Amino acid sequence: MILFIDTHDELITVALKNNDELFIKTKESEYSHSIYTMPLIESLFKENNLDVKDLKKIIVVNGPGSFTGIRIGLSIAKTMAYALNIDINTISSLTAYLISNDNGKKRKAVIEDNKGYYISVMDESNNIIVPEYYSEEDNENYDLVDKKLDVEKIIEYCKNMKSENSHHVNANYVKKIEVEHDK
Amino acid sequence: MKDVYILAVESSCDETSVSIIKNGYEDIATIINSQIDVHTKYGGVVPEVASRLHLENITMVINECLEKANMKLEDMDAFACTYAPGLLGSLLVGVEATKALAFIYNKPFIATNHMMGHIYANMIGNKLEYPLISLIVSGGHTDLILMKSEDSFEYLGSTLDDAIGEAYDKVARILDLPYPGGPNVEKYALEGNPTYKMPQIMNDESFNFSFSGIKSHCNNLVHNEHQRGNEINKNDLACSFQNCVTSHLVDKTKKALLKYNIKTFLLSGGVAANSFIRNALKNMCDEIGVEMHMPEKRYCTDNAAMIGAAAYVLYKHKKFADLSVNAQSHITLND
Repeated sequence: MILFIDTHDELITVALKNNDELFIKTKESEYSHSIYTMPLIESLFKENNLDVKDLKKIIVVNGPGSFTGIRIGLSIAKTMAYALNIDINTISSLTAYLISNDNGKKRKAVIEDNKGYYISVMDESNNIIVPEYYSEEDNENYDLVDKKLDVEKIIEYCKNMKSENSHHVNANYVKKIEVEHDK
Repeated sequence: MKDVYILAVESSCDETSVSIIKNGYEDIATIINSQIDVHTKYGGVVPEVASRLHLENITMVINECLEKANMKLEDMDAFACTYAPGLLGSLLVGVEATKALAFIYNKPFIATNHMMGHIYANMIGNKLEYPLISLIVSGGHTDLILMKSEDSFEYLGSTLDDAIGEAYDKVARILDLPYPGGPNVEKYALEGNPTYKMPQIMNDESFNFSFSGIKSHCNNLVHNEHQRGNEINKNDLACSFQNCVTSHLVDKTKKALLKYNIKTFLLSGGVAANSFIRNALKNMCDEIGVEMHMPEKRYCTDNAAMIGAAAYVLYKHKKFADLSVNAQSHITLND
């Protein structure tokens, strides 16, 4: 059984894959990820009569995106992986969009914030050819993928990834904060 | 009755702390991971930096606490955390991690008020008699509270402007003392004499406090001396300031104890680690026959043991929280 958690933007997505069944829950939330995320996860298990102790792996989106949003998903994910002593993988929000939209073409994923763009590019065979970066302008000339997640494809993409140490699981902020620039 | 073990998490500011507390008063294990070295670089707590460090450290601190206690998560009867007041991004890390534990082990989740934690720091290894009056002195609070029972909080007075800890930090800045300012002002005061004239602070009938006037007074004093080309004696100014704010605390507290005829007094909060303030309040209590409790210094500054002690009171009253609880930056004890 695999749990997927994404809290990097206004659409919270949590999903549970048990054998061939996939249960997904989403919730629009601007500043209330703390109110919704854990109850959504709880209801995934309860409504489908599944036991959290049977969980084998967690996949969590670790950014870039809302700093507070990703910390909520990551706090839950790394604590669960630690407590249950199970595998955990992080995936970038941009990679998650790119892999969800694998149209056989070179393509870019872009996440905008108030000052610029987080950008990454993937090729026809799903290799990342432009690793994620932050820029005030988006000058990549590739097809732009939708910000839509395909959890099945993400789980498949992470299938052979080595588990990370839950203690070391961290956010992928990409962007520096102001005090770091001043240093 | 069966022993109750609570695992408590505190992450409201710049310490990631986890404790295991037995029956609300026995500290089985407490780990405090302080970020003070990092924030010293910036001259104060940077909220985004604090949040990032909490996320990096949270499971390691939980693990270290369990190892120290030689216990497992399965042994816990409840999971508690600070949910307010504090820095939102920081609080959220502890809140979400604790929810995850409560969910996995199907045990009560207890959302605890940080200020309640400061008060109940006095319960660790100690028994309290009610009614009592509690004075909370910290970087964000200066409150006099009447407690008729262990879960009733009646505000008698609060600061009208700066909290006392804030005043200490600002005076530290005026005197060019490094972060953390408060403890450094205390250190300097120890070597000085109260030679500078300080204003009389709000000597009225209320139980409210005010610390912004004295801060401005210190600022003007330093400024004027500089303009005259005179050196400020930092030790003497720190001492004069400390004497003045301490007698303000002592006067108001004494008035409240006498008016309500209360025989038990609790001191708590980060500034309760200040020895000069502890001693002055203790002398006043001895003089009027009041029993005074104050936490050991390590339980005055932010720690999860006090959150576990407060959570035990909520546990006894079955005040459990839902997994939808959100962190909050500002609340009172009665919210």
